[in-house]
Amino acid sequence: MAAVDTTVCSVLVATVDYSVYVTSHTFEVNPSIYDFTGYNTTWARNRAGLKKATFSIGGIYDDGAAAPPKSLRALWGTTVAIVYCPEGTATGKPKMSFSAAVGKYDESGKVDDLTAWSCDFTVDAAVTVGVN
Amino acid sequence: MTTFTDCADEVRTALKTITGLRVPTFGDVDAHPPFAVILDPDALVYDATYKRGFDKYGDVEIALCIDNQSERAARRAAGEYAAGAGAKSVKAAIHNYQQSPGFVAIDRIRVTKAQFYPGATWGSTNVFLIIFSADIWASGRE
Repeated sequence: MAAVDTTVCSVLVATVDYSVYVTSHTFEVNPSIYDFTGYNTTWARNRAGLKKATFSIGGIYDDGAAAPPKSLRALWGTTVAIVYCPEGTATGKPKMSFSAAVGKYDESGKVDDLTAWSCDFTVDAAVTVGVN
Repeated sequence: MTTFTDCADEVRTALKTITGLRVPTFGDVDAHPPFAVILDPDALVYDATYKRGFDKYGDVEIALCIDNQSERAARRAAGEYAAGAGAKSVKAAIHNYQQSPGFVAIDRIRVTKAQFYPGATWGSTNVFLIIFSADIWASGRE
């Protein structure tokens, strides 16, 4: 057992390795929860419904054609393949693969810092959890 | 793999676009004013991005020495080197070079400030010293 940090984290968007430009990410699985509480009870009853997931990444603005944001701009409004490996890509490390719709996208900056971008993805159908 | 010497060599190339300014090789501090030398960075901060993408050299100092025999002339020259724009501007020389033709080892450089030391000595020479500070981002990959 060992702690994991982001220096090994790998993110591929539409087969392009974005990892070296990424400074933050969030992978969130948030299933629908529905209330089926009936009469004459003191505690609410809840059951998990459909599984849903979102993914978001952000990073530094690189002016390379294959780097974000230029390559990412071409993907606005499309559905792309994402491969996310939180522990790196060594053999046996976990790998999550999914298709996702490209959602909210922004570019931002402020004085005395590098320009940044971020993008949200909403998973379409299942997340396949496997290993490298 | 990018080393600080690679980055310093590129900064040196950019500074050499300033007419009349001597820019000795990184590590060489034996020169006659006006000259600029790149000093070692304050720190190399790893992992600015995931997967060893970028590292940051913080507060890289560039020492620019001007002959101080005539204080008035030295002060006038210092103003031109420290200005944000112009033919003698250190900041402009580096940033213009970054735009075109562009650096290879350096992914991004920003000259952040200039500090003035009018009564300094460099070796045995009485100089007007300007210390420029810059942040450099460079690849952390092979």
